[in-house]
Amino acid sequence: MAVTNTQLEAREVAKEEYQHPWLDIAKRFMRHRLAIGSLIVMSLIILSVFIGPLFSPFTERSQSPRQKNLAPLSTFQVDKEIRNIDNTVRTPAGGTATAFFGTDEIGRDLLTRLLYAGRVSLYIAFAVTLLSEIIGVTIGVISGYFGGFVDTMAMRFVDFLNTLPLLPILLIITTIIKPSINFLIVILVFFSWTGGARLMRGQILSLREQEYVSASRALGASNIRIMFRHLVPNAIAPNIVNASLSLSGVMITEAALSFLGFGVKLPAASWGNMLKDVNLSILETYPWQAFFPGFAIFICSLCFNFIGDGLRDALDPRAKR
Amino acid sequence: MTVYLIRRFFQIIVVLFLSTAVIYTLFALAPNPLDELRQSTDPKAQASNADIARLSKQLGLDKPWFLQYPVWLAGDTWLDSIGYGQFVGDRMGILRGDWGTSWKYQKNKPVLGLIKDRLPATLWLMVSSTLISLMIGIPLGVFSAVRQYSFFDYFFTSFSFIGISIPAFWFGLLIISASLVAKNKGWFYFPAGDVLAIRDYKVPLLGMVEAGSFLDRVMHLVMPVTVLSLLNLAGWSRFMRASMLEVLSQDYVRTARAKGVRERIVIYKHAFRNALIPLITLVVFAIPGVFGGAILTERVFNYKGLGFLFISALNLNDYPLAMAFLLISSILLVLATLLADILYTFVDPRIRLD
Repeated sequence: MAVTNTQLEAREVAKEEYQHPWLDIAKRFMRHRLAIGSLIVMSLIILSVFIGPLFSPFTERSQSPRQKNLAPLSTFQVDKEIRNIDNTVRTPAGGTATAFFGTDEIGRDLLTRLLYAGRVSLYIAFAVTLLSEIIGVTIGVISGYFGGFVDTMAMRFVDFLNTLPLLPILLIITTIIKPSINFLIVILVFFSWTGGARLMRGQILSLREQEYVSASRALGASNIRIMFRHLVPNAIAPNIVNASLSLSGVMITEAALSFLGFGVKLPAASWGNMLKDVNLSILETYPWQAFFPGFAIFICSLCFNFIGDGLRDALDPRAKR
Repeated sequence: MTVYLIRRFFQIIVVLFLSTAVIYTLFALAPNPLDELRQSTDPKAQASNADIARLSKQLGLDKPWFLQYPVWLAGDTWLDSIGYGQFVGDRMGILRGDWGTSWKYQKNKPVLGLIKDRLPATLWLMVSSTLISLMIGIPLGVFSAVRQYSFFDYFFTSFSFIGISIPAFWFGLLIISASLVAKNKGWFYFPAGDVLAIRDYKVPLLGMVEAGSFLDRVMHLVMPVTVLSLLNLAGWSRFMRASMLEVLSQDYVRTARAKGVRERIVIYKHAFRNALIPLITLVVFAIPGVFGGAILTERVFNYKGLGFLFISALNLNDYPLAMAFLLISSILLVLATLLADILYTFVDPRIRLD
């Protein structure tokens, strides 16, 4: 087939005007100032949580009964040298260090513990959200694409999971199993994939009737290819928004469980279980011990919510706020 | 409608039956709570063999595994008719109203009685916080929808973002801390902890507060209700705003405006009434929330309601009590779903269920 000049010109023009959709989305996201700010704050938090402890004079477990309940910004007298897990000396005895956020009731540096706890809390939030979105999207796309019996069974199961009262049942399961951190992730995923599955199924139900699906079927594409190559990329936007918002939900749920003593167990720290032992006398005399961990949860959850809001604006330009 | 109700009724039976199975399986997977008694080294806590035999009969653990669930459901008075005469006892099973007895929290007290004792405290908390959230949340949502993109709308949006992001229990700790500061400085404060005070106490401005009086109850309710209401407020007013915006963009609202109806009437008579419909779901689902919703708040404020009872039961491995709590909350959740569906048809004739 001969290619005419006009056709060539048209191609040139199209090449210039073509903008990758993700670039367009990024541009719209940049317009949401709070979302950009939250993204920056979140990156800083993640960075400091992973790099911060390396620069701390304290280790996760190091405690000193004589230096307990110090106020923020007070000087910590290092009576006994602080050793790393591999028994190398981290801080020699005799010196001083600054306890920026003070120390807790057994003399652990709060800032250092906060950073280590942040690793656990953020790890759980990201792992649970990622896994439940992957599972939710897969089940949602299969259920929506094939319909019929598969769909009915999957959606009945989703309905059933939603009739179980979430917090009580999580409390019971964690009482019975006493899970490790990774097992806790599995339990939380089991109860949080349903939202993503429902969203995905709803999208697929309308997309599967589109002409490009029939076209690729006519060209001999397999079901797997149609589902994951054509349908999922077109239907993923609401799930991305949902993921960002559910990061905040998962983080608060984990914090609540750990706060009640049922989630992350000592000696591991998470932001929730750092608040577990807070009682009236601590609140009266050393209120900052209760302030910092909760504030960390609050800031992260606020950031996730703002990022989610920004993503919603960017991914769905028709939706009005 | 009747056909629909009958169909739903059977669905509910199936769902509840599945729930009991899941709940029972969960507790059956738990380590035997009596092992702890057997291995106890504390001479006071040590139980004799007779005690353990009695307790395992009480918990239904003396029977083979395939009989335990039917016995929990329907009791053990009928077991001789299927050839297990040796296990016949006087349990009636949950289907006949015998929900078992607590074996550790308060020995030998029926769990339903324990739950009933705690119910009023939780009802006070949930009813007042639900009412307050509705009374503030609905006008806030409507107002910011009517004035979309105004300063108030932006202010309110930021407020609701803070409200949905703040962990309830931490917010509770913060205001307890604030009340302690106020108390120490001799300012007006609200007491933290418990449902009612044990002794009379003195508060500036109000003078002596008599323990157990209505004023005492209110004083103890203020802080937990604030926490719960803030949580609800953020979500509900946002929901109300979205619902109102949706209705305001409908054709019938435009028609009303085109007819020359005054804006006030358009908003309050045409839009507001229709915007309230989706709120039914929220309000109805506050009913099962009575059971599960306040666990954290009750724990933070040491408020001895149902949520507190549930946490204590779990910490003591008092399974009959925890199971009863869980079963009642799932029954309420299922019934709330049905109630919401039915209410929709009454309020909005466009929705038909058949």
